Amino acid sequence: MRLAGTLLAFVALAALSGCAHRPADDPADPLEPVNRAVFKFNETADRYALRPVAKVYADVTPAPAREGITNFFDNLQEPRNILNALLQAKFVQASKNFGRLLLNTTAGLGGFIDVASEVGLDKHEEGLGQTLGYWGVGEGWYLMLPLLGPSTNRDLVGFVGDSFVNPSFYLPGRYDVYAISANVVNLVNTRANFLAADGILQQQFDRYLFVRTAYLQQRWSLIHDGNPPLEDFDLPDDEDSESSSTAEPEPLTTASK
Amino acid sequence: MFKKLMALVLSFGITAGAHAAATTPDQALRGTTEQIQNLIKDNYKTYRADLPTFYKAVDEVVVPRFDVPYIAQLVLATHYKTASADQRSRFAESFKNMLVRAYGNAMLDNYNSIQIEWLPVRVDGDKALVNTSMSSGAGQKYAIGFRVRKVNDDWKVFDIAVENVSLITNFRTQLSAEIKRTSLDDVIKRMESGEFAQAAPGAK
Repeated sequence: MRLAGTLLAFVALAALSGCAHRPADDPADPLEPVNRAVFKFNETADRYALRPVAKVYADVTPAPAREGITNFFDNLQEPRNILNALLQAKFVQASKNFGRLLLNTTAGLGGFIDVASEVGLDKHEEGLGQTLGYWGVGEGWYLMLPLLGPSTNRDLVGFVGDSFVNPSFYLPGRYDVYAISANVVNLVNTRANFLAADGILQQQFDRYLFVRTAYLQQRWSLIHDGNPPLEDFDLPDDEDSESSSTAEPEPLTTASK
Repeated sequence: MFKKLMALVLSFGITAGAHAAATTPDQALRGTTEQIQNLIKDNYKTYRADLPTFYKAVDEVVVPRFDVPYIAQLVLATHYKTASADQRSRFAESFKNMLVRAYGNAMLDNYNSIQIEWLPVRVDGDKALVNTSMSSGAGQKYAIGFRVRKVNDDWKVFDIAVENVSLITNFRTQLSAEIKRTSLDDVIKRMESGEFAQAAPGAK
């Protein structure tokens, strides 16, 4: 099972290498029809199951408790952050994340309190998808995964790889009722953190495209530690450079493949 | 106290010296921000009762800080070339109105709870990125970046990135898909009728 996952990851990675990064407004999305169907499914699942639960949860759980839960699950990701910072040769960052893990696990009472942020060790996310991006692996195709949400070929590989570094993966009873309820709490809590963003999503006239561009830009920014190269929004042609008669060299994303 | 004085100096500096502009990009933005914040503070009740008056104030104070024609061009991207002059200006106007409504409401709702932390500016020739960290009462912080460029010796905004999600890229993607599906004229008409801005949170 684990072996199969790793194998799959390597195959996908091999398929990926050589793909360059594409701008977020023109990504490779050959599976768009499928992705849209999955997106619709996810939205329905969210509307009738996840969102109502998250709303009740947010109403009955005081904000500090929710923050504590967020911190707890974030703390479990520190091994992943450390390893991936190392893989990107970001040694200072790795040691900062190591400091966070030590401080928050001890003084932060098992991760519930983010004491590290108070002393200047801010949260910093590094994952395998970012590591691959850092070394120049393009995102490949955009993917919309059932229940898991937006991803790309690269980030899916990262997601599978990262799961081996999560401490909970090595718990003996990781399929018992406690572990599963912990996962549910994590899911609901995470969803509750995004309730405020629902309004923004609803205002978009194509929510699928909004999620796609937002996701791709966010990942691009994370790869660059929050400072992506400034986009020039290169315009197809400038006013004065008299248009060459080839009218539309622009993407017909799916058709032109 | 000092802050208030600064605000006063800055907002006057902006109105008086809009063309003198030896200002830095963040000074320019700060001036506009404080100006509209002060206006809302003084006229909150009026604006609440009469939104069109408020939008007019935003139009007069905030919109000049934005490079509207350039934004329209960036958003339309490939479709800009084939658009007629009339389509271009109508698109720019309706796009601007949409933003005024969308952002104006947020400003009105949050003007006294919002905290803006101005971060170091990245200048790159006649373009720059002004980074800010905004937080509302709830304490959650958002990274908001303003891309500005020099126009007639004044700094004008041409993109806003919220948590690194660019307004231009977002609208470019959605609008160009919509234009391909229907037509530019159709999209402009729908924007003029306020369709895209009015979808209230959770309405659907």
